[in-house]
Amino acid sequence: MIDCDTARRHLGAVRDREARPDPTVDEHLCGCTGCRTWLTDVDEVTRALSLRAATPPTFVDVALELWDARVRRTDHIHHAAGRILLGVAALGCLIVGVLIAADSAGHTHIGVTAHREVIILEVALALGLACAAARPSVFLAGILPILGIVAVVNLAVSVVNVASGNSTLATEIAHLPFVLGLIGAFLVHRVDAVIAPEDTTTRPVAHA
Amino acid sequence: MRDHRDLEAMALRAARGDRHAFGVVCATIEPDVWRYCRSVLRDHTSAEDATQETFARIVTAIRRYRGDAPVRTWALVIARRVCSEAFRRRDRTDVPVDQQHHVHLHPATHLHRSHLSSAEQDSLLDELTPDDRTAFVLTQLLGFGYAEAADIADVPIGTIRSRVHRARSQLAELWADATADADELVSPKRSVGGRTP
Repeated sequence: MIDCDTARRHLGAVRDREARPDPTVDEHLCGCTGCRTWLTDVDEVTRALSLRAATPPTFVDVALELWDARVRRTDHIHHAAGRILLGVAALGCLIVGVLIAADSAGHTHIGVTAHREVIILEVALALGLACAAARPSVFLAGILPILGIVAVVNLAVSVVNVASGNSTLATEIAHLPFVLGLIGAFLVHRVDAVIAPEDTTTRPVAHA
Repeated sequence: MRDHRDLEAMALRAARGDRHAFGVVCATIEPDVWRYCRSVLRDHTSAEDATQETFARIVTAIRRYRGDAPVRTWALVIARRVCSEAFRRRDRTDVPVDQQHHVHLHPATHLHRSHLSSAEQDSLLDELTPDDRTAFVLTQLLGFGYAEAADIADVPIGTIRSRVHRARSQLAELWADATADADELVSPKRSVGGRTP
């Protein structure tokens, strides 16, 4: 024989599909009016409470507004980070260009004309990156393809050189500004493309 | 939304930045979050604040959702934390809550036995302790299993089992008393109408 409390616990668990029916409990239920009444009351009150008496207020619009605000905030951070990277890359190229120019023996390895052109290329890229950092809406689209090709080719050559032992990582670090600039350019470009695919002059700052 | 797997798929899309999927997820879990907050905090204003705060956290947290737990469970764990913080703030500031301690069911309730007004629902649930009420709401009104409810409430499954049983027994008792009161109120009218057996 089981007591009423044990039977009711089990009956509740069966109602919740957390236990299987037990013949002992069923037998108790047949002979116990109190438990039968209890079970009826439980079913009735649960059913009555289950019906939604009032429509809850809607929070979906609020959630979507918060979502949009978060996206704008994230885009703004990415945009700012991209511009900073472009600025750092510009500075890096300029420093590399100055270092090459200051190396009086540099032209003996590659010739005077090639030496001068390397310096010009570094300074030109530094200027282009600086302009893109300052006014991405105007200059970024122009510099992105050139920067992309320069960065990828330099990176590939650096990897081959380091892997074959013809160069060291310390030497190849001179190409790092291109890679940083490319990452920065992609960050800024991605945000601009998402926010204003038809209007390249729009920046996330305007949405903040 | 066909089943929980669809909802999980939507949540994963939202985690990757899909705004439409996020809206669908919010619309689906909104009633559960609201009802949970309402049942735990008991007053409408606090429940609204808690629900909004829950969604504010979900906006940030959805990026980290990887489908390890069902979305509804995951969302209600966040709601539980928000409600716990609201409780602590309330304890500090001693803000009174809406309280309707005595259960008054309208006589018509007994006749229909299928519909309770919002106030009557709140009134019945308010009689339970917060822990018992939460366990009851999670398992009986929101349809969670004991294991999921235990995850949400952050207690062992045996505790949920005990709380559900206690809540159920108390509600059955209240229901029996309230409907008996309603019987007394309705009986004279029935007698006048000649419909009493």
